[in-house]
Amino acid sequence: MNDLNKLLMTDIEEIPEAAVSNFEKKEMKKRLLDQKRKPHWIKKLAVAASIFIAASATTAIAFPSVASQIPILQNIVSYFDEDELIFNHFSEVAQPLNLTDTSNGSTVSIEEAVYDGTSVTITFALKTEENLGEFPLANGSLEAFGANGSGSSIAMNKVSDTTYAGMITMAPDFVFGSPNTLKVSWKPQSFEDFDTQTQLTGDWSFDFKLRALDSKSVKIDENILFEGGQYKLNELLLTKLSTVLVFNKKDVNDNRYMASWQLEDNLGNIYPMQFGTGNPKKNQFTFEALHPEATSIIIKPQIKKFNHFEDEGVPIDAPSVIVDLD
Amino acid sequence: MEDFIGRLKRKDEEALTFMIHTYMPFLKGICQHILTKSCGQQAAEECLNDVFLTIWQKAHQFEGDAADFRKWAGIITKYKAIDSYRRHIKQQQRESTTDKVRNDGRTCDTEDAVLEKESREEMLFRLYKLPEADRELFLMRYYLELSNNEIADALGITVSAVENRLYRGKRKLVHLFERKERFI
Repeated sequence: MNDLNKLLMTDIEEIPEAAVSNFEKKEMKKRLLDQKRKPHWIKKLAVAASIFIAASATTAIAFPSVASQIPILQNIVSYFDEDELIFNHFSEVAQPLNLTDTSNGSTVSIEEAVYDGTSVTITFALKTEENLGEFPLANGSLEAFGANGSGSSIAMNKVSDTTYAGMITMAPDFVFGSPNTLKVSWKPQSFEDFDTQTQLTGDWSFDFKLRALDSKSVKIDENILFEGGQYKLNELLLTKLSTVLVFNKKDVNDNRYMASWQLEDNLGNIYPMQFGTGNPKKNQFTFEALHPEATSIIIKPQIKKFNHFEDEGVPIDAPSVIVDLD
Repeated sequence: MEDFIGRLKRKDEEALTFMIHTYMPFLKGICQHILTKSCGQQAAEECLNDVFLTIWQKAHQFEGDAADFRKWAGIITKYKAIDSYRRHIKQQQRESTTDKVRNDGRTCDTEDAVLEKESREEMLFRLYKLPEADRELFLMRYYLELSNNEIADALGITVSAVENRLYRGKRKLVHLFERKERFI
């Protein structure tokens, strides 16, 4: 045990520092930021297992050959931890859909969904005999009618050997402005385990309509001028789910300047940007819903200038804008 | 960087860049010192990745200034590296015997084992609340799970001295927790 004792007695301040290249530092940062999912599913396994067992027992007796009318999973949102959940208030505002489709021996079911006028979020469950690993990927995006493409983010967690919980958030690029009622369709096509390349394909198909949440528009009409151009802030759209900042860019070179945005309210709460979409004409950045007692917001752009593509980026001064909420 | 700790706790990306830039050479040095010769470069790399991941995920639990942070990060690295060292050594010993029973050395298969690992990790972060002198003692006992005898041997003190310090330290921890809960 002598080696172990030596290690235990080591004074860390006496160990020489190791050389670390810029590349290694970048890789480390990337690795940490890519970590959206943590294996917390194991904590929920005990609870999930008992729900699943109860549900499947009933299924076997009552509905032997029909896609079960008992939901595969309930309260799917609870299988995602804080970092994966884009919106904390999702459960309170989501519309129950309970749509089920079976293909290739596997069943997909959409539990609930919400549309805030800017983005759509759905929760779904997958029941299958295929082993898709802890964090499968879903291929085949949500499509919104009247949109010219979209960006989306998907999280899937294994809940039990045959059940997976999923959440998708998608922000369409609307051609004619955002509709009050949105037609959405989803054809997942396949789910796969990225590590083993195991793939489950199928013809699942879902069509549904979502009503936009009530929103309040707070006019801003202010410009943020900085060395690289101008951001013209139009308005804030507030719903119970989210806060969306709508603005236009003027003369900003996206390869040179990158902005990340943050809101801070008068109570000291900070809201980092969850995601953004846009085209050359209009941008929308989505943040968490504001605290109900907030009365004003500071909008802070954090702009970085990149002289060369590989740079870390140098922070650039840019003014903040204060908005009073009525 | 101003308010480095505050920003790190809020998951500010710039604080992350700063943290990596400032502390990676220090922490990498510790991992390499403990693991490269005994277990290989890959073991050292995996340990370093694990350390940074843990710090990034648990930063919100940290309380203290930048100097405290350096010590905290250093101690976590040292003990995770030693833990990794011990597991590798045990695995090497297992592989060299002609035991027919296959055991790949992973204890993470059962739910109990995973939960136990998680609570060991949690412990790693609460122990910084103890005075410095006691921290490593606690890590040896509760993170590495050495016996009181092994600890006494390593530190060159008597077993009863180890037991005394553990007892006093535990009382302090309980005291700290109780106080914190009253203020919530």
